Amino acid sequence: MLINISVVLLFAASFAGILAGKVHRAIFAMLGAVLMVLLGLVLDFYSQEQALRAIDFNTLGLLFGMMVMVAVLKNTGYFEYVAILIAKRTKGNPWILLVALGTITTVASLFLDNVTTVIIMAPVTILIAGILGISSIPLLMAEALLANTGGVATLVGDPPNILIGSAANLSFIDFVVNLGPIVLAAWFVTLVLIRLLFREELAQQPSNPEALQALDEHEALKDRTSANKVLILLAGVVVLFFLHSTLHIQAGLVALIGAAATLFWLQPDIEEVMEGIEWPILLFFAALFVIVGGVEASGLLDLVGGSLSDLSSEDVILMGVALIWVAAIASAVIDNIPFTIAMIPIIQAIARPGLDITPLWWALALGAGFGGNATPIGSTANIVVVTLSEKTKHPITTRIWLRNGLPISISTCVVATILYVVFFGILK
Amino acid sequence: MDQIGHWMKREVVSVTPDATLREVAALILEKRVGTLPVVDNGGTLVGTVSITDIVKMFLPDFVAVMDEIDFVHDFGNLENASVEDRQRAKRLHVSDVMEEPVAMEEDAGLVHALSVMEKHNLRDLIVIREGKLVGIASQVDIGRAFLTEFTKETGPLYT
Repeated sequence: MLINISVVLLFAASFAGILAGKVHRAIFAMLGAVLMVLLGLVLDFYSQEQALRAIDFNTLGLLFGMMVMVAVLKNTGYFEYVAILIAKRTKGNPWILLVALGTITTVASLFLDNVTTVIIMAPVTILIAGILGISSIPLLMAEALLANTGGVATLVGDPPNILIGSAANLSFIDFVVNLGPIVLAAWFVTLVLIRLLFREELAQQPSNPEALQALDEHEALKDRTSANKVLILLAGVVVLFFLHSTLHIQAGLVALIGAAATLFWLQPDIEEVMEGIEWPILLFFAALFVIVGGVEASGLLDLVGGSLSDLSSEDVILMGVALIWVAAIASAVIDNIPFTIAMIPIIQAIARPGLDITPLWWALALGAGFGGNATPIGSTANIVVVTLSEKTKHPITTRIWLRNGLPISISTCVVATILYVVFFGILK
Repeated sequence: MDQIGHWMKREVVSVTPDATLREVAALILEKRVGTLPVVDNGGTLVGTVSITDIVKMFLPDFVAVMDEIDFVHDFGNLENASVEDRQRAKRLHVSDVMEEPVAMEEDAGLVHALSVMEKHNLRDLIVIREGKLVGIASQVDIGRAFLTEFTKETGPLYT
C-alpha cells in the first residue's frame, strides 16, 4: 500500500511538472526518473537493472538514427532547394503554393519526424511568403497540420507511433495498411478545411511574383553530392522499413544502419552532426521510460488494469472509439509523448485471452495524432511553427490557431471515428 | 594607464524608455550619433538603443529565420519599406526595442574598456558613476586615448 501511494504521488508529481512546462520537460522527467529509481531501491520494488531494462532502446535507436540522417541532409540545403523549385512552378498562386508546400512537408513527415520536417520547411516558407508579399500564416499552419495528420500513417512519422509500434510489436507495413486509408481521407479533409478557413488570406494576390522567379534553387543547394548520397541511403532505409518485420530486424536497427552508413559514406564533421541531434528529446524519452517502468514494477498497473478489464466491455471497437476521443482531447491540451507512454501499459493491461486489442493501438495513434492539431501546444511541430512565426511581423496567435486548428482537429477525429468503425468493426 | 572618464564625452544625448521610435530616429539623425543610452526619469541607465536596433524593424521576416540568404537575388517590392512597417515603427517605443545596457564605471582602465567593447561588439561605450549615466566614449575616443599613451611610451617617430 505504501509502495502504491508513494508511486502514484511521484508519478503524478513528475507528470504535473512535465506538463506545467515551467522547467524544461526533459529536466523534470530526469528528476522524476532518478527519484523513481531511488524510491524503488528504498521500498524494494524496482531495481537498477529493471530501470535500465525499462528504457526502450528500439525507440531511442529509431529516433537517434533518423536524427543523424536528417542532421546531415539538413546542412546540404536540399529542402530549401525542393521548396524553391516547387514554389517557382506555382507562379506564386497562394492556394497552389500551400498545396505544394503542404504536400512536400507531408511526404517528408511520413519518413522523418514531423518536428524536424517543420523546423526545416518553416524558415524557407517564411522566405517564399515574404518574397511574394503574402501572409505566411496559412502556409505555416498548413505545413504543421498536414505533417501532423500525414505522420500518423507510418511507424516513424510521429513519436507516439514509434512508441506504439515498439511496445506492441507492430511493423511499418502494419501501420501503412491499417492507418494509411484513414489518414489519407483525414489529410484531404484537412486540406479542404484549410482552403475554407483561410479563404480570405488565400485570395490575396502576391505583390511580388517576379522576385520569386529570381530565387536560385541551385544556389540554395549547397552540397549536391552529399544530398544525393543521403537521399540514396534514405531510400534504402525506407525500403528496409517496409521489409523490417519480414527480415526480423527492428525498425530502430534499420535507422541505426542508415545513420552508420551515412556517417561512413559522407564522413561529415561528427561534432557538427551531433549538434544537430535533439538530445533533450532522447533524454526525455529515456527518463519517461524509467518513470513508467517504476509504475509497472510497483504492481500498480495490474490494479488499474484489473479494474479496467472489469469495466471494459468485450467490444474493442467501442473501446477504440472512446480511446480516439480521449487520446485526442488529451493530446490537444498536453504533450502527446508522455500521454502515449502512460497509455501503453494501460492498454496492455486490458489484453486478455480471446480479446484482440490491436485495434486499440490504432485508436491511440489516431487520437494522439489528430488531437494534437487542435491547439498551438498540441504537438511539438505546432510549437515550432508558432515560435518561428513569433519572430515575424505576423505571429500565429493562440486565437488564430484555435479558430482554424480546432475545427480541423474535430473534423479529422470524426472522419477517423467513422472509418475506424467501418474498417475495424463492420468490414472485419 | 589612463581611465575612460578622462576620455569620454560628457555631453550625452539620451532618451527615455517611453520615447517613440520616430522620435529616436529623428534624434539620431540630428545629433549624428549611433547609440543612445536609455535612462529612466531618475537618470539611471536602463538600456541602449542604436541605429541597428531601429533599422532592423524594416528587414523582411525571413532575414531573422534563414541561416543564409545569398541565393535571394531580387528583393523586388521589399525594397520599398512597406507602409505597414512605417506605421508599426511609429507605434513602437524605445522600451520595445532597447537592448540590455553594457556600461563601465568611469574609473575603469582603457585596456579593460577596449576588451569589453571587443567582446560585446560595441561601437560606443556608456560610462556611469554608481549606475547614473555620466558620459559616452566611442571606439575612436578610446582608441585615440590608447594610441596617445602608446606613442608617448615609444617616443617620437621622426626626430
